Amino acid sequence: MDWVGNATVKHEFDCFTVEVSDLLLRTGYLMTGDAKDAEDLAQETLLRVARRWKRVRSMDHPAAYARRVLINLVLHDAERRSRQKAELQPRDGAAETCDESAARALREVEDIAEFRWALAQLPARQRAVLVLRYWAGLSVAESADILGCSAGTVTSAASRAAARLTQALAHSESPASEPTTRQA
Amino acid sequence: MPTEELEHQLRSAFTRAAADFQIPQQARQRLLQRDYHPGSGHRRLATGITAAAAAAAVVLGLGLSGVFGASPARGTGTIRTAAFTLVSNPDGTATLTLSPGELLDPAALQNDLAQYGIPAIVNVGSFCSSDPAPAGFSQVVSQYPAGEGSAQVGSGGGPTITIDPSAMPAGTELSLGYFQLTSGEYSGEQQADFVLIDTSSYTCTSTPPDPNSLPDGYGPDDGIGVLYGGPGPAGS
Repeated sequence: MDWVGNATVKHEFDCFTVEVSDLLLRTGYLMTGDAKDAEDLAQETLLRVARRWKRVRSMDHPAAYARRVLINLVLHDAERRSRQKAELQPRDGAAETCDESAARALREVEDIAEFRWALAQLPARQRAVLVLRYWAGLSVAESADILGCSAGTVTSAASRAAARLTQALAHSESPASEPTTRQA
Repeated sequence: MPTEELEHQLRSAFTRAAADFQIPQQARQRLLQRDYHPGSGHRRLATGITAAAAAAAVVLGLGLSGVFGASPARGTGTIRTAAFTLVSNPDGTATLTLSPGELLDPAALQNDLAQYGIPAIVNVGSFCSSDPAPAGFSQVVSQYPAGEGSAQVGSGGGPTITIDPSAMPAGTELSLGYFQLTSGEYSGEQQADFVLIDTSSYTCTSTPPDPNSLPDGYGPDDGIGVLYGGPGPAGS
């Protein structure tokens, strides 16, 4: 639906783009660990939101909708590549790690690059659970709605993701040497 | 369900990771210069500065103003709740104003600060600090009304501080402790304390810091303590 001829609606979308650009770039970066991928994701997200802007603009939280689109782009991409299968199923053999040791491992992270590296080792859906719950600040129910699963699945996935994160942190021998993209 | 301690550590780590990502200015510009309008072609780079870029120019402070002045609660660059207002400034800083007499939702404020790239630990009824204090607070936080160290604000308004996340030393977070005082000389008032903490070493206490001084390890320029407002939420 073409709304480009409507100056008011067009201006609203332009302002929305400014409003959400940093949010989308940061979310994309946390989901991918790569600045260029984050930029591509943010652009694709805005393209998709633009197509539905007449509907999105009437939503209570258009920015939340855009974040949802971005998260789903990452998840669909992961599925398309078949890199991870049934990531929310307890089949990954990750050793049970108690919450106490997971919290301790996170507390002891000195270089946040270690955390980013460990996060990148998680399957996309587990990463999404953590990003939605602990960065976006969404509730279990809201996260479940975005991910299209039950609240219980989100809760258990969060625990498993934390356990895998702890394992990754324990084995991050040289995360500082990871290739990092800081320039677009 | 992860424990509260684990959830806290996860929030803290994500806040640090997000804040650590300095968005390249060119990436932001490219994003704003794309033409997203339906029918304009997929992924077509705009041939000139689009209206989005023009709007960005407004936000980035290139001499225009007023576009977003009438924004609603969560408008462009402004998050407004009953208890606080957080404004994203064109220079990358953010200005936080606390409203007198309103109960602060610590998770909401912490999350909103994170959205603006500010790693923070916000507590209601407790306050976290490090000993020794990280250096650099005065480069990170400026205050209105201006004050040195602790300051007392009149009952007419809440404190306003401006935070520069780019000036925060690595491994630090902003700690905000908020208290509704129910006893003592300042009973009925609200107290907010701001310091930097070392994320690898800090302690938290439920005892409000002395309004006229800062915690052990902090010099007069290493934090801000503010008393403000009259009777707090629900007239407590």
